[in-house]
Formats: sequence, C-alpha cells, structure tokens
Amino acid sequence: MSEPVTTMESLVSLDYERPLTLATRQYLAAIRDGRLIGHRCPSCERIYTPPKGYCPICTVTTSEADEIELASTGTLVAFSILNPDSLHQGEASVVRGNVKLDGIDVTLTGELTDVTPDEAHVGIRLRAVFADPSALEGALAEWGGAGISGWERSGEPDVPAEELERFETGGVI
Amino acid sequence: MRDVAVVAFAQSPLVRRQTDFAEPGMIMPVVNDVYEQSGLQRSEIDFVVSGSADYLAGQSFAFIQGLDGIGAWPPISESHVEMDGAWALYEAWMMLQIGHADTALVYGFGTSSSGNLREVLTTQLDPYYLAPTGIDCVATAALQARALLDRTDHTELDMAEVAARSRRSAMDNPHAQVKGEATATELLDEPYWVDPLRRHDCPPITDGAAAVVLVAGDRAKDACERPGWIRGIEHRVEPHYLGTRDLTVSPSTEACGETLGSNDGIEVAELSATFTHQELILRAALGLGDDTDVNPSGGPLAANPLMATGLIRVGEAFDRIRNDGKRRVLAHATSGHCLQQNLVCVLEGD
Repeated sequence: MSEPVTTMESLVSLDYERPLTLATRQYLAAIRDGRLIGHRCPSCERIYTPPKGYCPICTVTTSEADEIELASTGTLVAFSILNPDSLHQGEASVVRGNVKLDGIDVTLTGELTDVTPDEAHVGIRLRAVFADPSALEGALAEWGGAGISGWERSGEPDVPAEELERFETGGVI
Repeated sequence: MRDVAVVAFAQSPLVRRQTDFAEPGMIMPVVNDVYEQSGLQRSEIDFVVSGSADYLAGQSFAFIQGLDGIGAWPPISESHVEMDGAWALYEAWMMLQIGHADTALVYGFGTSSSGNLREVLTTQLDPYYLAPTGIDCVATAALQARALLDRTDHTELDMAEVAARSRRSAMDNPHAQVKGEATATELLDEPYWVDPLRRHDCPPITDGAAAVVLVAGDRAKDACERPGWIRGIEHRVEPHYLGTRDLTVSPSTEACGETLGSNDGIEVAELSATFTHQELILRAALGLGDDTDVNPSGGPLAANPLMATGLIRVGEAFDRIRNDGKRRVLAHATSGHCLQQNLVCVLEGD
C-alpha cells in the first residue's frame, strides 16, 4: 500500500526588477565620485541619506536642488556580532554597526572592516569605505547603505559614550 | 445610516512603468492633491486606509513604505487592505458609518511593472490544484471568454466593440495609457493572443496610484460643491476554485446590484472590466441598459493600475457627478481571477 500523501511541495519563484529612482541614481552617481550626498527637506530641513526624493514628514518632494554633501565619517553608536553559524554568514565572525554620521541625525548600517568582535565598542570613530564603482551596477538601492562597502577606523580617538550626541529628532525618521 | 460622500479624487499619471519614483513618489502628489481639493488639512483627517499588494512590489511590507507618501507623523489612525483601494474605501465608509470617524483618506497604489505580472497573479490561485499548473490570469480569462462565446449569443465582434469604444472614450482621458480610433472590425484583423482573446481584449500593464477623501454629513458640502453621496456600497465573494463557478455569469455582482438598485436610472457606470468579455458579463449582472454610459474614462482597458483600478472607478464616477452634473452613477471593482470578488458602489449628486 502506498504511503498516504500528507504534504506537497509548493515551489514559487518570482523575479522582480525595480527601477532605481531618480534620487537613488543621483546618490549612486555621487558615490561613484567618492562623495556621500543627502537631500535636505526644504520645509523642515531634516536631512535624508540615501535621499528618498521626498520628506515623508512634510510630504514634499526633494530634488537635486536640495542636495547637500555630507561627511563620510561618523561614530559607532550600536553594533552586533554576526557569527558563522548565523544564516548567510561567511567563515569568520564580523561586526556590523550603526554609524551616526557627523553633523546629521542619520545612522547608516554596515560592516566594520577593521574592527574585530573583541574590539567592538560604542564610540569608535569610523569613515566610509566606498565600493568599487564597478560593483555598484544593480545595487540594492533602497536598502540603506548601498554603495558604501563598509566602515574602517578613521584613527581618531574614541568618543566617550556619555558624550555621544543624542538625535534631536528623537529618532522620528 | 449616515450620509457619507466622496468629496475629492485624484489619480497619478498611469504609465507602463514608473521609473523616477518608488511608490511614495506616486502616492504623495495625489494625496496632496485631494487635500487641496477638499480644503482639509492632514490633521483634520480622522482615518486613513490604503489598498495595495506586496506581491506587486516584490517587497514584504511594501505597504508600510507607502505610508511615506502620506505623512504619518505625528501618528495617524491607519489601516490597510491587501486588496484594491475600492475595498479600502469600503472600510473607510464603515468607519464613518459607525461613527469612529467623520473624515477619511483612502488611497490605492501598485507597480504592476516590477515583476512578471502574469506569474505574480498566478499566486492568487489555490496552492493545491490550480497554482501548480502555472495557469495565468490571461489564460483563466480566456477560459471564461470561451465559455461565454460558446454558451451565449455574444461574439468576438461584441468583445472587439467593447475594446474599440473604450479606446475611443480614452482619447478624452489624459490619464489613459491605451487609446485610439480603430474600429471593432479593424481590431478583429489582429491574430489571437491567448485564444479566444486578442491583445485588445486584455488590459495594459500599468503603474499608478489614486486617492479619495470621504466626509460624513453636512461637512461634505464645505469640502466639495457637488459631493458624490454614497447611497450604497456592497461587496460579495464567489468560490475560489474556478471549477465550482459558472464563469459566464457574475452572481456576486448581480446580488450587489439587486441590493443597490443598479438597474434603476444609472447614468454612468465605471466597471472594472479588465477583459472585454467581462464587461458583457457585468452589464448583464447589473441590469445596465443602453442608456447607461459605460466606462467613459476608457476603463481598465485604457489603464489598469492594479490595486488602484477599482478606486479609480469610484473616482471617475464621482467626477461625472462633480464635473458633469450627473445625478446617479455606479462604480464596480473586482479582485481575483475571472471576477471572483466584486464590489459595487452607487453614488448620487444632490
């Protein structure tokens, strides 16, 4: 007698191709030149990077006219250590961190290239490592830090935790 | 029942592929537009509800990203349906009926161009019997059209006439994607695409967004000179499995129409007939006569931004009241394969 059928495989594969938005194309073009840009909302002056092409708080669009160049340096404000037994990880443990950019209330998330898990702590000064322009084609543009391949130590002294700036916006963005 | 009216409507450019903006960039201008039309500030809107499908965007929680387009800070009272915006409008209408809100913003949006739409819509089918066969929405529509042609007096010429009329009507619609003056006979010279459907029997693939504002009571007259009062709105669903349905009729639409009096004095009907033969089925189900102007906008055959198509039908019907002085109009929305689920809304002007 054959075995009763209790389950069946349901294989679904869907491919999507999403266009890079105008703001993302501007962002990636700047990254190719080794520059980090953002858009400043003409209404509330909040700064967005990568730029969205609009301010979701004020519901106004932003364009090249609202573009500003940002420092590609910042301070580690949070981190997590990804170990090889986690999903989609490589051979060694790596540190991923939230880097608060200098001068604005935005963090970018990325891998720390020269900070070992033992060394990781809040307050490390970092600078962006820009991706090889040839690796930018088809980058996952809307996913935060596309175009920045990681963050390396800037060599400046740490910022003590108690001196870390607090977000003026209260983390609204 | 409270008197609830549509007081504003806007739609984005309806295009084959939106390249410069993601969904929030489509939504923001139409939402700002309906606020301006109605004279209402964002802070005066009691309830917000949207309709969209993450499968179209290819991103989980894409509908949350859509909130970027409407301004959700300070916090708002918000809801979402994974359906056409017409069903979002139904939810908003209920919130106004039960008195939880006096004003509502409704929007629907979708980027059908992001994936292979025919494959994406196959995932609407049941996972055991139909989806594994890979049958797509054009093929299921073709089955429905074949059943209609073989079991009724309708012909392929009737279907081509629906397409020719829609394209002609669309010439006056700046938002329309497919328009033209070809006659039905000329269209019939084209080869079959998915037999018995030709290209003209099928809707275009469209990216777009639309928004509507609802207001309850006398405030509606402050927001709009000629509001479109919702005199009835109803939606019904039929079995999921196509084999259990008679595809040549639409009993769910018929039942909605009977409740709302769809055969009585409807001057304009905007129908979500996404395939030509579905207009023939829907006209019969709703009891619409020759004196009803069907899809003066060109309908979904002119532009079919999924998840906004049905809401646009409501908006276009409202515009016939607001702009053209019509008194009694009807809007229809559909969801699923072969008219599985249907919503009918009757609007009246003062």
